[in-house]
Amino acid sequence: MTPPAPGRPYWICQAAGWGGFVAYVLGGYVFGAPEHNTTDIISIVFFNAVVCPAITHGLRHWMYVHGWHELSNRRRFPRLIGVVIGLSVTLTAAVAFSLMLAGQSMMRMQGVFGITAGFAMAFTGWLTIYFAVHARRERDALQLRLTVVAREAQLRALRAQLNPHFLFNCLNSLRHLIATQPARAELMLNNLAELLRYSLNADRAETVPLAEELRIVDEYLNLERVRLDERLTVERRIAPEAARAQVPPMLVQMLVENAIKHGISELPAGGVVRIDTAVAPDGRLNLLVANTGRLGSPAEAGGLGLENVKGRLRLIYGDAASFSLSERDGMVEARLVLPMERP
Amino acid sequence: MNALIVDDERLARAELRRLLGAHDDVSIVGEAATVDEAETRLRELPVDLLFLDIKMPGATGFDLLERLDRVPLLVFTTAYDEFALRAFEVNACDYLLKPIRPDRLAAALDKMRTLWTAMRAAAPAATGTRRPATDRVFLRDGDRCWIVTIADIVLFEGEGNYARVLFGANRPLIRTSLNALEARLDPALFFRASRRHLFNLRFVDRVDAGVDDGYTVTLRGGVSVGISRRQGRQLRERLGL
Repeated sequence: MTPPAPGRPYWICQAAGWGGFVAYVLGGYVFGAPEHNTTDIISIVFFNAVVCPAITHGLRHWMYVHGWHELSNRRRFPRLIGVVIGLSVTLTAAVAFSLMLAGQSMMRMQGVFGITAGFAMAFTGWLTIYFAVHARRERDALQLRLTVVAREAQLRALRAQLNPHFLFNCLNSLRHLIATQPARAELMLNNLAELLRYSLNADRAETVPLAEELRIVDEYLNLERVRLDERLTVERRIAPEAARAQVPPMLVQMLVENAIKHGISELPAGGVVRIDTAVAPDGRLNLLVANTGRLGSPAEAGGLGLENVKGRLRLIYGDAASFSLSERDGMVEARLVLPMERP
Repeated sequence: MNALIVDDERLARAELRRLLGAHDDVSIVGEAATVDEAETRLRELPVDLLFLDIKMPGATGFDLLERLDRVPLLVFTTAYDEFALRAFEVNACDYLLKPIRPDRLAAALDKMRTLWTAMRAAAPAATGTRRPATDRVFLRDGDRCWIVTIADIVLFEGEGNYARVLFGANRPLIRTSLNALEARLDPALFFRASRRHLFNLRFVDRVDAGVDDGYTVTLRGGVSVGISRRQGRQLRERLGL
């Protein structure tokens, strides 16, 4: 795997880590060593501020290439110990060799152990910080992916489906019309096909133009008219400027379907369904779907369908949209307030 | 067979009428679009066979059945409620899914013909307002429903204004008092043993001397009912017939 370009936090950690380490070693040297010389200081700065950062940067690359980032902690740990020992010993040898070349006397054994331990400590610290940060970023990325996936799943689950009761009753009417009034059956079949197509495609887009949604509501109402005969009267008032608003697909359709299912079809004498849209002074879309009838018990009025509407609005718009259901003058009114555009 | 079609959709009624045209022994005596209308038709018309939609304005097909004194031969027609119907005993009724297939309708009618023949062969002459034992009633307790022939009921146990009905392995609680039940049931079949018990004489298995000068009647299925000495004498006379 090719390593991704390191981000700012990586460079900051590298600079601060090795900078701190150089300061620590230099401090130890200046205050701790009995005598000082320039060669030692150059050597300390060169190895700790140049060689070590370069080696760890290379190590990062190498670990990516060999897939160490994906290893479990248990399998990675022994490899990292090996790396720490190998690098510390090699570097100590390099330091000793370079000092020898510079004409310094052979280091005492104690010094060799000290330098090796220092390098080991530095690499252990580096790897600890590196993998701690890496694990944290992985966790955050996973969290983000999960949030996105969960939201999509929730939206899909809340997507309004065509009511199967309605669908099969339509097919039953259609069967009769094919035999008795073929021309009417043809029209009905087209209505049904449009509605089915729209409903099946509803999860392709998060929002659609209101005009398109209302066209489907019309197809749906034509079908309900076949079913309900003269029991259904529809009144529509659509403000022209409202038609370009964006709405979640099947949302208005679902409200109209509820108005018929819980309103008109429960009334033997039928009633009115009113669809009213306007753009409010605050620039938001106001949508009213009302039907003749009474609001039942809170449980009945809440219903699964309306919980569904509220859930979808919350997921798509957060607090920017609102929905309410009330009863006034013998009409049950579902009111929807939405931003004109998708957020 | 005289059939009544109950469905709130005009086209659904028309479709069923069209499909029934192929069956000469079924004559459609009426149609109803609501549960109230259906109840009226069932009182006025001699209906042997009921085609019943489940979802209707304001009420369900089950609500209609609950209001009826006797349940005719029954075929449910439904778009999507077959899950609710699976609970019924297969021999008690049938159901058709919409759109209705002519072959399924023919099979349902075959089943109804068989049931009809059996019921007519067993039916005694009705005695006034009392219900013949071959009549079927609809019982509902919460979400569960049954269609049961009166002769198959073992025992009614009064619980205030309610009565527990024992038949087979079921014991639904229905909202009818024991007195109201006694007034409607055939006394030749059902015996009022005590303030709380009304049982089917055909299910009496054993009568033993009980405590306090009374008797213990054991019904088939293992239920025992205690009765007084006076009621015991009456019971002996009735069983002696």
